[in-house]
Amino acid sequence: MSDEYADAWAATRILTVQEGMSWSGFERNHTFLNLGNGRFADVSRLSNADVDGDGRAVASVDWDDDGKLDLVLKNRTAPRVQIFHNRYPSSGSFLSVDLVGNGTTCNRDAINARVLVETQGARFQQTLHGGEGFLAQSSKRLHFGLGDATEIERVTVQWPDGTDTVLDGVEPNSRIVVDQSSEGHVVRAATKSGLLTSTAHAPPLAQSGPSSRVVLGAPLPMAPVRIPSFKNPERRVSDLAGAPVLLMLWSSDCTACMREFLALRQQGRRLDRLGLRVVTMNADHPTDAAAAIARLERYDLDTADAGFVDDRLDSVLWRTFYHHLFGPRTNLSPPSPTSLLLDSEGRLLVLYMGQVDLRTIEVDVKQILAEDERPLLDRLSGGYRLVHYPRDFTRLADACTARGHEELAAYYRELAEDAVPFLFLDGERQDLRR
Amino acid sequence: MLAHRTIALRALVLAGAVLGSASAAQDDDRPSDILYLAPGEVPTAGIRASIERRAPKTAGWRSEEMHDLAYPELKAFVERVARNVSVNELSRYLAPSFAGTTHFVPESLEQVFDDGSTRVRIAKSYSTKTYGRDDIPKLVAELTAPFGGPRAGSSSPTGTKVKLFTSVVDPVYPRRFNTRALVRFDGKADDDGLLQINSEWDISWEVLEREPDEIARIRTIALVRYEDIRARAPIFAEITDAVLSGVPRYASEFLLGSGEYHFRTDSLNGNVYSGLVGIAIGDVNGDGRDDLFVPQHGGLPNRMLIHRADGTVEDVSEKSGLAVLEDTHSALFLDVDNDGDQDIALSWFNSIVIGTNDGTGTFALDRRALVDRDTIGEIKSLAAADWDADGDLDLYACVYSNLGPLGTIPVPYYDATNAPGNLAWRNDGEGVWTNVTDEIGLGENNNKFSYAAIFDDFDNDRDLDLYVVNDFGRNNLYRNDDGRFHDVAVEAGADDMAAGMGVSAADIDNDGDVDLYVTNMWSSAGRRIATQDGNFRAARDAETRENYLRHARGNTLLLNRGDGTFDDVTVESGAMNGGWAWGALTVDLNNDGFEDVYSPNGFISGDKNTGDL
Repeated sequence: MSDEYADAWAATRILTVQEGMSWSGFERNHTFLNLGNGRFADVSRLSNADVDGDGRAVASVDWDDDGKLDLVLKNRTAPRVQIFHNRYPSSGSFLSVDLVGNGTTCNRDAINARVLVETQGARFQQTLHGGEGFLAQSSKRLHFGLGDATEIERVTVQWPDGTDTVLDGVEPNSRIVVDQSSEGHVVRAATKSGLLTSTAHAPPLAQSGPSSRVVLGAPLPMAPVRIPSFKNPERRVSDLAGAPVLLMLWSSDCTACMREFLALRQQGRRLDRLGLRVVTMNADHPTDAAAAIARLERYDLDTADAGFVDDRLDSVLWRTFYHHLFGPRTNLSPPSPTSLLLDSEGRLLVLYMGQVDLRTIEVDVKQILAEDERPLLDRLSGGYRLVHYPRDFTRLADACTARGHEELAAYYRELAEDAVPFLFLDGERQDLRR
Repeated sequence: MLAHRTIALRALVLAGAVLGSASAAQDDDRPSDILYLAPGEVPTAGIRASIERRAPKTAGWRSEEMHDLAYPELKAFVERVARNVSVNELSRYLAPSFAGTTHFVPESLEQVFDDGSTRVRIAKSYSTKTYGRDDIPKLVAELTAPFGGPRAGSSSPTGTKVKLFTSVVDPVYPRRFNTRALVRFDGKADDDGLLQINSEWDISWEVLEREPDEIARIRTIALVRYEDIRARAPIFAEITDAVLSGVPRYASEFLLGSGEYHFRTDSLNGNVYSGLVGIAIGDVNGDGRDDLFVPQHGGLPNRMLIHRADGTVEDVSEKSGLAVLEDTHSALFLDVDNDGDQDIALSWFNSIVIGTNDGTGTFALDRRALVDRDTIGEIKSLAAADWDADGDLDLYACVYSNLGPLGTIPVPYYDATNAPGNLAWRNDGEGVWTNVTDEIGLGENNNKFSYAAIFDDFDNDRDLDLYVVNDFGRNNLYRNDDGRFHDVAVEAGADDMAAGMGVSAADIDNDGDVDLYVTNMWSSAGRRIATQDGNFRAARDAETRENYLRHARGNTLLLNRGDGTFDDVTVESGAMNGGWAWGALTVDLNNDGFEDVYSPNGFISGDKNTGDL
């Protein structure tokens, strides 16, 4: 492999991920109608499902059980899930078939059973697939379009164990269940509801604002990080140890920051009661201390702990930690406000980029303080981790070195030594091999 | 030297490998965080050179420069045709040497389909008779007349679309070049229904000097393909909001894309970017309604959405036990223990975890994940089948590329065989699964960048064969010979050497056997580049060039002859251009008994519309 070839791959990665360029972007999904004569017609625009997101997987399901197949689309772009209801005006007749294997010689799902439907003059077949398309699984309910058929002569189920079930007396436009263990078939009632024929909305656009709550995958210890206060430019995160801390980065030209200040004035007591220390950090370049303090006073906010983001802290947060957490990004403009929620040992757990509702912070702080055997970051994330990966402190240390933060680099190098992935099994931590 | 657009040509699907997702996993199964340059690190000279080469001028791609001149002109011309503007305004786009155009609508059309709501006409023949400047209004009127309708007041299509997929400099006149273009018009039709016209034009251009730049002007237009479709109403109505908007995290999770999540999720969760995350449908609580499982990016809990009687969904993720935070790429519902409910297989990184359902939609995850210690590649699509016919379901997992800072770079680009192997897990009951990949013959040619797989009986002998779709090269068709698989893709005509992403299997021509519709990549840039001979240095010979071109051809339709051998009928089928497509699905949309196709596509839409690389 030539270096040029490898470099070209690296270049595309930088141009897309880092620089935000498109690559066969904004393409509209295609729909092809099978004309039955060996030809397809491109009916993409007429389908009304020609959305321009980065489409990935699609699965079919008759969501409202009305005899027409609907589509569930998964996109790379927002909205990541889209559902399209089939309203074809002159659909042919249909047959819906549920299969139940015997569970001994044939799997209960009847995956890979093939069903043949014979009408006068036509014959249709479907196989039940366990996964189809790309990263997708469609409904296990087999769906047959039968064109203008008014009668079904015969339905044959070829089970994957080699046996067949042959059915007579199946009606078009019906829904049947065929159980390998019993004779014949059962007609199933439609489950359809009225909602989807009466309500259809286009989804709202993706949030373009930067507001987001990011729960870290593993804590990021910040104890030695210098967070200058107006009184003490050498103050460190470790000086605030003992209680959870919210470091709120704000700037004087940011209206969202003022809204958050207002909320703090009105409801800040709720956070005080939890023992959360709210530390405001002015991020103007450069900070005018007197003006910043005056502004805080206007909102009755604490000024004793208040501080500012100097060039060094700016470099640590946005050039080092941000890169470490998310990867480098060209033209990054740090969202304002940005708040960092630290536990009482000065470890970063949650990042709020953009304005955050105080209730959100309150709920998160309560999680931090709660006694619960489920791992804290899992609880904050609203889920479960199967494997707990440690932070790659070696890499973080390298990043610190690259930015000239030698003291931090040394601190992270030490932490790197005992980072082991672990599982939680029934609440017990179990280390994985190194 | 690879020009940058050459890169775009190679499907470069890269997905997990290059653009996103957890990486690394050196020898301790641990995804590391940052995939690209470390902070403070600058691109190497080689990478910088590669970035610079994307400008056609720097790269010496005269034909791409021509394309860049022609595309905006054609787009504007077609938009003006649609608006039925005056001949003077259209003349702006014509060269002084303009030598005529054919009709934009064939004189003789044949209706080939009518099911009561959709009518399709194609050209019976294409006339080569050309018309001059003064006749253009008449030709335009022919095209636009069926649009609009009585209530619209004027007739004109409301939508147009243009793509140039070849661009060839004239060998004799260096200031002339020829392109083939897709030209589409759509809008309200005169009967109050909808009309879409799909055509292809061959256009020859003249390049004129206009300070400070060059401009391209049209010399000739020839209509070479035409179909028009009338529909009474759109096929689909989107109901996303109606179904999902009650999910508490709908807006904050589903209404952000992978590109946004990349900068909103701790990279140690798996650093998403290419957004290769799937979907699974199954009835997990046995109430007769299909439910929705939404795998999510690392750090976001997977979402289990129960389908309620009113058609909306209820988020039961935490209660279901499936709110796993791992970077889950695919999921499959399957009854692993034959107890009559839907269990689940989830894949993340190189692992598969099985969750067993207690029948109510609550799952117990078996944390003894299925992991092959030698596989440090990322699992993509899963396929379930009882291939050993012992009555329970086994699992096949596609593995794409090794993880690491750059993943595995496919070599050679068009027929790569340097990827980690896929895995066949045999279900031995009681939660025991055994890797039998080699034992059953699936180790053969098991070195491709696999994205998707499907089991079916392709040779009609009532056992299960397996078709595996691979990026950067040939697919596998594993024929089952008495329980042992053997790759017969090439001899069966099913190798489809291209940028395979997905596969659907169905009897597409209703002749009693299972055909294949393979999702590949159609790239107009790729098609233009790969047709160049002088400049496309990666392709040293005609055959290699052909391989590159094939790579950007689009989706593939393989019709089964009935015995498990296939004919590639893609080009004549008209179902080739699915865009830069992923998981196209065959699905009968109008219940006429013939499988239609829906092809999701698009690779990376950037956070600013800077145009393509």
